[in-house]
Amino acid sequence: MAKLFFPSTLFRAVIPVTAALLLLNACGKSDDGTDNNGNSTDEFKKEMLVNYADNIIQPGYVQLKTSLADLKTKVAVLLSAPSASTQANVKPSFQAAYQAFEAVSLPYFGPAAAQMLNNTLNTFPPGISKIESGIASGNYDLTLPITSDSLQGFPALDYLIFGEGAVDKLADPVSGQNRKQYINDVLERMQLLTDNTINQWAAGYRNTFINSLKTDVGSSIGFLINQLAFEMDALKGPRIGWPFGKQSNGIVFADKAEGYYSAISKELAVANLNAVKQYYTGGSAKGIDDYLDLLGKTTLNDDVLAQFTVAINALQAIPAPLSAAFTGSPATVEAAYKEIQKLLTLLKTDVASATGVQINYMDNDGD
Amino acid sequence: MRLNGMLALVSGALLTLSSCSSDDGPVTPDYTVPATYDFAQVNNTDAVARVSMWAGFTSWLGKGASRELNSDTANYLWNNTNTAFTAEIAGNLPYKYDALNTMTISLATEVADATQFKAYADSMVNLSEFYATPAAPGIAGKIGNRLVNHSGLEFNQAVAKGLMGALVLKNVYQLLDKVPTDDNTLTSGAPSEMQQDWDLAFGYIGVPKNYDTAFNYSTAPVPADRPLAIGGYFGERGKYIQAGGRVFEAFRTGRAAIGAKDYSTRDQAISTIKEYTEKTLAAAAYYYLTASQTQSDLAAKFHSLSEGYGFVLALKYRAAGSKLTATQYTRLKEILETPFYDLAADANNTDLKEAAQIFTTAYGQLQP
Repeated sequence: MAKLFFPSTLFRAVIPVTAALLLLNACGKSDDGTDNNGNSTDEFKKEMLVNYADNIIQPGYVQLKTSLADLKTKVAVLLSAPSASTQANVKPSFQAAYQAFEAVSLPYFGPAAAQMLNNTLNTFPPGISKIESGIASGNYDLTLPITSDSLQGFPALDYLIFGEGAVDKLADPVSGQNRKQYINDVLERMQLLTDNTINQWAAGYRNTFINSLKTDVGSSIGFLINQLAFEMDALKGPRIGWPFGKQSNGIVFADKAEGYYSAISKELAVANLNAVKQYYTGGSAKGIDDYLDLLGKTTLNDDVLAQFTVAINALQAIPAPLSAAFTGSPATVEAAYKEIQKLLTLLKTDVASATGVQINYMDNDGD
Repeated sequence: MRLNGMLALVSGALLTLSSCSSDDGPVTPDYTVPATYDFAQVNNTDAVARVSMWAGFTSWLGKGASRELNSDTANYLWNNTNTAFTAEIAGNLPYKYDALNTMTISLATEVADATQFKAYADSMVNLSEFYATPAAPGIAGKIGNRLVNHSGLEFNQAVAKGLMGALVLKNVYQLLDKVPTDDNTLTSGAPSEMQQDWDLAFGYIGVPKNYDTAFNYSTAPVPADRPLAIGGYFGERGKYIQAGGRVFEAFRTGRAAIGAKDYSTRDQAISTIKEYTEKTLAAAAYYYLTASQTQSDLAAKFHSLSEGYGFVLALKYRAAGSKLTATQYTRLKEILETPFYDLAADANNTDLKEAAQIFTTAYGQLQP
């Protein structure tokens, strides 16, 4: 992620607290009872967190696991007999698995962060020259943390299975063997980290997650709201804005989009934003939206919900594939970009402020 | 307009605070405390210049993340020899590179545990050859835009933040501890020994004479006499505890009190300064040890942990009788000496939560 920093956000949050503290402490009394625990919203918060853990996050990882298993079966058929038809046969499973990942991209904290799941599964664009040299030499280590170019995950599969001449390269009797091995290694690592994440949630993190009822840094609600903002930043930046040329004076880099080779960038973006909305609403049960209502911020909640609808519609209005729309239909991309920006501001500034959560996921330290 | 309003609110509250704390009836001082550190005959060049050297040296070390550093340059900057300071690293400071290069003072002589901190700096220099190769557990190199050692630590952070204790706290406390026994014969020609030591202590704090806690010093054009080192952290991580306003006011009050030989006010100022400089470092450490729990990007996470590590190093130089006990401090160091990859691999952040809790137990709430 690029450096993203909005000083006004932090500033707004600090002023009222500072003033209030001074009034409270004017006669040098030490503050007691500022702990967020033990207040009347605890029961609600706990039910909300149980809903997130049991109905959204953990089932989301299980869905990813199932989809990856299906993908592996389809890929095995492709690898045993590379052809246009076995390749086409992989695509629906690839898209389903990638979309299943979009549904768990948001809870990148706790077990997923400890496994570096997102970093491994979806750092894009893929580092093509490194992937090719790894395949050629047979010398690569997928356990190293990804620092810049990604060797693995969905972006690598996207390139290796759907890139130009992919079928021919797989069919090559000599170099094809290494390539097949590489694809299998990538898939196995994706499955391993997904399994580890599922197991860590079940083994104890669920309990930690649902019992963290504060909103301070490192709390479950703090994580959720930070990640709502983070995903919106990622949608505005790497998923849409950067390939669209927002960081390059309007010069389009379509091949840097997520899922470029399989041409599913738009579907992934829509799946991502739908997932963000689900994490905001908590599905049909208690979520951040209800929490805002409970805090008396109903107008803000209404605004956010309305903006989700506007932004999702604007994304849907882009003609597929997104990579072609960057140059073929820039006005629709621009419109979606603007609505995403508005939603980002609402979540990162207004919702964070209303819930008393500090946004601090980014590496914004200037020193 | 909004900022001014806030400033007024803050000052008003501070006045209330001080009036409440003097229960023995109103004191009528026969001197006034100026709004800025504007006293006659202030000469604290050595202290202010050392903070400028700190800024230049640590800025140079930071370059190790993008190019190979030369070990001779490290020695020259540390000892201030061979006109080592350049416009690139010390171009916009209270004392700029050309002024620093002509001075006979250096960092080397005034830093506590100088050998250790120089070794950290040398380690950064040694690792800088890996500025373009990726890091991995057990292997030094680059993660994002950060250069880390085999366990994920940025050595330049250990130096930059550690020196806020080993250079700043150490000298400020040493001077303030000496002040009560200093000669305070007031003559018109020169400051008294006590005034001189007080001014030097203020110089190490790294804030300008007209320090304004409400001013955003990072707005371009960035002023040369912006807050540096611990002074910079008053604004960066010490806002919630109101450190900047309290320390600055205590320095002005104490200096005025010395001029009027009002020693009880001076001693109150000393204790405020000690309390809030230490607490600033604690608040910064606390911030980074909690922020790192939220960060999933390793570059951001390791940077936060490195900052935390540096601030914990700095707290070694806290005043005697600190709220942070020796046992608590040992545990903090132990936690931060865990390889950062291991800290990152714990989904529950157990150790980092424990570290944050140690801070809260010792100092109370440090951040909003």
